Amino acid sequence: MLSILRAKQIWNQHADLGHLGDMARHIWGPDSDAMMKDFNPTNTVLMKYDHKIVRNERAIRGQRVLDMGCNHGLWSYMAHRHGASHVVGVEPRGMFVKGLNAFAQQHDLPMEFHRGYDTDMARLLRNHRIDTVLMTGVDTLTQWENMLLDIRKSSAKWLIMQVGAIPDVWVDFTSAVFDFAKSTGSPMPIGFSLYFEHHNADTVSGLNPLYRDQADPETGYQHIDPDGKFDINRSRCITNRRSRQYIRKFIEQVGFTVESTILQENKTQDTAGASASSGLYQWYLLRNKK
Amino acid sequence: MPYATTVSMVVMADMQDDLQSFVSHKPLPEIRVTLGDQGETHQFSQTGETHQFTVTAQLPRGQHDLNLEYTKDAETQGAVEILSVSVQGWPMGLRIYQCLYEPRNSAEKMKSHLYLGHPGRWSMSIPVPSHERIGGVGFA
Repeated sequence: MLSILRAKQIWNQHADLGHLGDMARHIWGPDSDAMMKDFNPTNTVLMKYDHKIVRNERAIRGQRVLDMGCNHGLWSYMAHRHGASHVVGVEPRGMFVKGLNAFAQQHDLPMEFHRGYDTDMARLLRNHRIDTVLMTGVDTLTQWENMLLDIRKSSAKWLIMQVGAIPDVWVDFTSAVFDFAKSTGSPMPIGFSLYFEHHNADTVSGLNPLYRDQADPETGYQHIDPDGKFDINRSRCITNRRSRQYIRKFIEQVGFTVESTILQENKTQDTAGASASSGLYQWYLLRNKK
Repeated sequence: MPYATTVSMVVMADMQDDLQSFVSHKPLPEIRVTLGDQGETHQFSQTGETHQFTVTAQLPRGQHDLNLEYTKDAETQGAVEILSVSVQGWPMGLRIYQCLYEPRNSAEKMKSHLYLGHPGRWSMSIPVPSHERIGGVGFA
């Protein structure tokens, strides 16, 4: 990993603080002004910047980039600053989409943002003639395997992926698992997924396909219980994480060429993100060779 | 190192029953919202009025209370309802239920109440820097 200091130097060469302030104001309104006055990227942001953008510039420069699940648009913007010819950001939360479009228009930047979901991948790739997909941080919430299949079938050339991958040593299979594999003549298991139940208070829980239409269109908040009613106590959502070996095997099976992959070296504490603070991030640069 | 933290609260005055408030001479509430050493005070002038309080404070790393208090001593005053809370412009959603309401006429500390029927104090803990602890806040 580049040292944080080096990543910060590159950041300073590419990020325009005036732009970032305008982005924030368009998204979060004037309440973000004081925060942005002394804005400095956290170490977690710099780590992501290094692994998502800086190291993958060859897959970004001159390319039409799709930032799937673009969130606040920071990585869409940084892809633009690192030479993307056009950036399409897709995100379910209207507050981000509206703000980012207003920002792009204000500065006449080659970026456009749309409300959409993981299930829109094939259409987006086709309609926007995408060369490179930036798919980072969407793995715990979506069936990302389906998106990989869509990308593989498309004419996109590159996929930059960030996943929160569970170390394989976290789970020991019991003998029952191996007995089952033997009895069915199946090969040994190659990985696993873990599922986590959360209180449905997060903005990202609005991705639940059953109640998407009931999520707040601006924030994505979806305070809905399994019966479709508002219920603070019973409201739940489920996220998932795959094991490292499974992710690797799936990528290989689909047919992507792994150009590079990096595991997060250090846990970071300056983030609300569970993956970064637990040291689970893994970054892939994949080539979609035909 | 201090972190500039801006919190906005939308609060609505509710005289519950116009006739009742007329009969009991219940005054409209004056409310003060504080964060750190900063605050904003507002005197509501009619029932149903909503007011957005916005406070920006320079705060050190850690947990800090966002407070809402009735400023007048009268035992009977109009109620207020907290409609929303946002931190750095990002709505808190269900997080606003992680709050504490302490009505003056009771020793009880009530969790998850957004309707303040009696004068008292309401508070909610805000982590600082908030972009490191609350998803959706800032470029994190």
